[in-house]
Amino acid sequence: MMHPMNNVKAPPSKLCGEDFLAVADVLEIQRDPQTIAAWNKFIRARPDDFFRAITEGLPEGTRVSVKIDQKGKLDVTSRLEKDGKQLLEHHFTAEIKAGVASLEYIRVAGELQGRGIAKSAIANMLEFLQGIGVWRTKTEAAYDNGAFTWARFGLKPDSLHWERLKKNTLWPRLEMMREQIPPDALKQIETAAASDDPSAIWLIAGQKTRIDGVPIGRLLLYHSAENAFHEASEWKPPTKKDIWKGIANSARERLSGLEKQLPPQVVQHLKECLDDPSPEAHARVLGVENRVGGISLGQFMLVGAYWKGELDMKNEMQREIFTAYTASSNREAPAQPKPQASLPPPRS
Amino acid sequence: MGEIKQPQIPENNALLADLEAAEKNPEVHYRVQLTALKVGRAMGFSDAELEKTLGIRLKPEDRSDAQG
Repeated sequence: MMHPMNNVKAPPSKLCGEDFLAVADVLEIQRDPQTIAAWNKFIRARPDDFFRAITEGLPEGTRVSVKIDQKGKLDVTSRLEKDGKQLLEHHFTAEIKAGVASLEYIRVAGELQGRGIAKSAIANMLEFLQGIGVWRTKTEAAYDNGAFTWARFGLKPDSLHWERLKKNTLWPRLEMMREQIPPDALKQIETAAASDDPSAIWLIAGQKTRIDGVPIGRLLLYHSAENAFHEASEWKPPTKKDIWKGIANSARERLSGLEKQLPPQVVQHLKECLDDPSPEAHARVLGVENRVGGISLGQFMLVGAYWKGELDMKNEMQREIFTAYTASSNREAPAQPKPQASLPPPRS
Repeated sequence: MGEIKQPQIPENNALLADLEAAEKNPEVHYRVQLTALKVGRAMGFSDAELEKTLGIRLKPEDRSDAQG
């Protein structure tokens, strides 16, 4: 199936505000002359083509909001709401002139997870960005599973965050679990954690050895603990109580997959601690020393960590990982890097 | 921008769920693990050592001693 962004035709002439009216119910954009001029300069696609490119594979009813200015600063948010509940929200920004984008966040409601929606949204974003000459996308890998998931998806930390990740996460976890890790895997992780090359994170994330004897208290509390729940519009520095709430949310989710390995009274105790709004409950969770197992080593090493990094679609290995995942859906793999974007050159 | 994030609740596992679903396809899993294996190979590990920890069996054409 041809992906819409592979088939975008340049508009026959410069678009005007009226050209956006046909998709106004699904594509929200200011139709003032400055915005339209910026669209003509940087996006250069018909509004319906753009909308299809961004929402390919997403549930029907998804709406897209776009802001773009004459400096090439782009801000795109896709949302799906049903019965007052937000089912999907995906936000990215780009500095088109600089050729760099930022994936701000993506959230999919639990009932829609595992259907490839998040993957499609990100693939759409990257393919669109490549079409306008933006090959690099930065993100923050954080919170619960982000540090593991983004590494699996082909992103890698920048040098600064790779050094911090090694020092603050990888080596302490290795020291804690050294006895439980089989020698072959231990040697590989130690070598990767000593490397200066952030690509080593893919060797760590790919470790499939299952490890046992992980202290449940520590495992539940692995979390990057940054501003875990304030709405952006209401942002203020998080308090201890705020941070604990974010950690506890993540810990509850993690505990749900491990309950069967623990005595019922321990599960009950942990749940009570996690429902306690007082940050002092953190120490009580940490004190639970029952052990769990069957956890993939790659995931154990990276969950709850924090790093900043990027996906550069001109990097052969990153593109290979990304296309391995996206080729599993009904879409064509993105184009190989070309000297020029596939769209016609910007009009002045 | 970039330092301020929206609420992070279990919804932030959406991509992980998608990746786990995609990796059930053996070819997807193989391709992703092959990239990890190449990183390990560059660090001096043998194909046999990496196959064991990464959970894949290399195709003949992907072996380090493959002709061509």
